[in-house]
Amino acid sequence: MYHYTIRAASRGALLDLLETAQAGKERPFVVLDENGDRNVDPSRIRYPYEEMTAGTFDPETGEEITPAEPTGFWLCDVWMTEPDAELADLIDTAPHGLATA
Amino acid sequence: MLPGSALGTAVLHGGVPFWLNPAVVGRGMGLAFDLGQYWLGNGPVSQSALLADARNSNALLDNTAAVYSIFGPNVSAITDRGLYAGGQVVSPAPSGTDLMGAGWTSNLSPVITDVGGPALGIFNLVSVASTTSPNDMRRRTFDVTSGTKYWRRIRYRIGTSGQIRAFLRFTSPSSSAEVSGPPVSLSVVYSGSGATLLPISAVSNTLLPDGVTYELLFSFTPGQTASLICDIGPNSANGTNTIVLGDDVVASAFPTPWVSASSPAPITRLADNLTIPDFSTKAAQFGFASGFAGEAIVDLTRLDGTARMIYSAGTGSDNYTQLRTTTANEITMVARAGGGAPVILATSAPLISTGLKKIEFAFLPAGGGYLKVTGLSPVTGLGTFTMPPLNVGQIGAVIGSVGSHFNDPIPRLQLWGA
Repeated sequence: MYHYTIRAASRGALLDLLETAQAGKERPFVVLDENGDRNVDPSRIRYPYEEMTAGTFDPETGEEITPAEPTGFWLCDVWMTEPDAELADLIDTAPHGLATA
Repeated sequence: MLPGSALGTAVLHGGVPFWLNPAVVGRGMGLAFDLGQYWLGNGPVSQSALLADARNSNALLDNTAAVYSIFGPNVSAITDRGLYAGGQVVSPAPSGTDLMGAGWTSNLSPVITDVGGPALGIFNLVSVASTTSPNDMRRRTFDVTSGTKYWRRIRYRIGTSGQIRAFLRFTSPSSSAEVSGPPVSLSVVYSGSGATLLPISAVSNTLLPDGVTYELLFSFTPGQTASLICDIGPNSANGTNTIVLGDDVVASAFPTPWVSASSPAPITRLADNLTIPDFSTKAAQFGFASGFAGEAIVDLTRLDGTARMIYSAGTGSDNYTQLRTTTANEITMVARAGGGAPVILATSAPLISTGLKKIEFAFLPAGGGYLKVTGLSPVTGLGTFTMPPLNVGQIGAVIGSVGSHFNDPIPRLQLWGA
């Protein structure tokens, strides 16, 4: 499975990026839900979520040292059975793209 | 028990499976997920002839013996309970099937012993023993979101302590909530602002069919977005233990099958996209455009007032036929063509009990459609309507949309031209 993490300044911006990457594809990344709102294909993409800083913890006890905080950005994870050049390009060129894993 | 339910038989009668409605023969398709048998037209076929899934993640599902299996990407989650058509859920907690796995630490000084496995399919058995304090526990820490409901599901066996302690805590402000005690008398205990910041509800504790493993299930809804400490131990201070198989935490409005396996967090269980391959061809072959009937057997584990799709077919939001539950816990069938007004027939009363339900239905464009549901009075009068194009057949989700997965087992589905 190929895993891509996409990052953007807002949920709407994330959906815009995915719509760019889905152009010409048989199966879209962004679809309408039953209320007519835009959403991601939940069979391949984790619903967008707020990015958090990594909290720090005492390795012995697990007690929190520094709490996690929202960064103001949004993320979504995409899993594909085949490499996707558009998603890879998106990550390489988007202002806030992250590396593939 | 319903005739031909999961506890029924799969023997053949004159070459036709016991479970198959005779009306299907030569005129439709039958899917007995619980028995692993599939029928198309005049004979048995493979599962792949009648079911395709496109889900790019694993899915977990247990059977009637509470034994879990892991179903890989694009493999439908099917056991003798039926087909589970699941929506997307996320577990923020790692290694939910192995307390020795990555992400686990210990608080104070519990004695942790790997005592083997796998048990009940996927779980490692881990002994957690105290030394001198009831705070001697196994620990994970992960982020939770304010206002989101989480379900914590723990499988355990009574050790020498005779008890379990499932503990939750925010560091700031110092607040905790726990479910603890012996299986027959578990208590919910709060400290600090726990009752406000970590309110616990819907506690259940069930002895599983193996007779030795309990499943503790409860929900909590954090009152702040923060890191959560999530501990588990024997609730003792004298060296006694409990045996823990797994500890799953899932963000969901309702309890789901296990999500977190032996992997780092977060773990995303992506949504199923279950379709009947070449449905338009099959629908044309059996004359569905002139009308079709069917039977579904569903296993409702909850009546939560949500619209959950059992079956749908069509092209999208303007053209569809649907069979689903409603926000009033009724069963309804709906037909819509060309974006016109939907034609609807619903049961005249809500379901009042969970469990296996047999639903018989007919979409007849010329009129005479009906709906019969176990325990409810039959209803007729769907009226006349235009049959929409039946291009795609979907099981357990909305045609042309992304939501309303059934999120419960569907043991059987049969469709035939009428």
